[in-house]
Amino acid sequence: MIFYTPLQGDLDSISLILALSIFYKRIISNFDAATKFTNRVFKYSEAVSVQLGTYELTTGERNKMTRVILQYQELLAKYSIEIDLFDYLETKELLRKIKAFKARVNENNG
Amino acid sequence: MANPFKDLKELNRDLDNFLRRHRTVIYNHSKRISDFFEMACYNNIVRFYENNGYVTQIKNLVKQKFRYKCSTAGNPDNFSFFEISKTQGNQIKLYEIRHNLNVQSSFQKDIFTTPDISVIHPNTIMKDEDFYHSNTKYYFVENHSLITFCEAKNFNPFPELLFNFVGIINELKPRLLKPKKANGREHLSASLLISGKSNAHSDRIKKSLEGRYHINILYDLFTIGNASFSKYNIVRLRKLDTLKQIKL
Repeated sequence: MIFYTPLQGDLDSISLILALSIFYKRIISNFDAATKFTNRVFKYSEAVSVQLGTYELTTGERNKMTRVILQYQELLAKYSIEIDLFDYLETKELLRKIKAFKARVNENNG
Repeated sequence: MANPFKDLKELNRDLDNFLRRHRTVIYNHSKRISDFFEMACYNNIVRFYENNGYVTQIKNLVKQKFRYKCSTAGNPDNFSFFEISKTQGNQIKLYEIRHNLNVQSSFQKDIFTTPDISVIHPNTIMKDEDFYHSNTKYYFVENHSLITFCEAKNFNPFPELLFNFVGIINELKPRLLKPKKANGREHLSASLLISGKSNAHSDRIKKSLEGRYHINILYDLFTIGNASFSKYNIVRLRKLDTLKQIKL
């Protein structure tokens, strides 16, 4: 428990970082995969969309997803959060990383 | 540079703005997350062949749309796929990378299973008019037309998932359950592609299964797993050869 003492006052920040990491794992990485596949299809064929059942992934939709990915990355960059922080299996692993991250950020910000 | 521990209000506001701005896109597309993961796997298999010297071509667009086969039902002729080819001397190696295609068991001709991604010999899809006892037709490939296959799972790896894959290999490609003296070069061996990260136990299971069988189990497909299909890393993957080629 003493190990996590430096994080005691940061529960709200930790919750948001945890939420960002779940959002990355569940949404952003899948969006990224879809845009890569769609880019390949558009590059190698005359296709104007990828159709999955009744759902259609057009150039416009691909661009919207790309915007989500880019703005998410900008958001992380603004707060010096690197994607590596989200490379964890168990929440305690994330907490350990957040502790090191906090020390680094505070040091850089003086 | 903002500090997420000191500028909490600003972080909250930025997150609210981000979600408000993109909520429609996120909501609309989030229903397709599992399809997107399968797309990632399909994309990686195509990447593997490109990095292994194959030329890829997209076939069977329907009204300028790449029709992605999302389920096991339906006539594969109505869906798009990647064709891969490699010319060596006077021979051309030509294959199709398909998704959700029914494949015949290697033990019994009238039972089938449907791997997420299959690499097959070209123009080998068959039609069975009697399978359903109705007018609906059943489309499949005979077992000898299947070269290799992949299963894509958008989960964290767990023992049952990993061991179940051995059952599918036993049904479709039992010869892969014997260790090979040498690795092949042309095709990716049967592979289980998993999005989630592994723990120490699933790492032990992977090591054990890959030690016993000629297969690939790849975890963490969005990060480390994704890199497995790069030009420099594909040498580490288990591969197969096939003898059937078309003379030019």
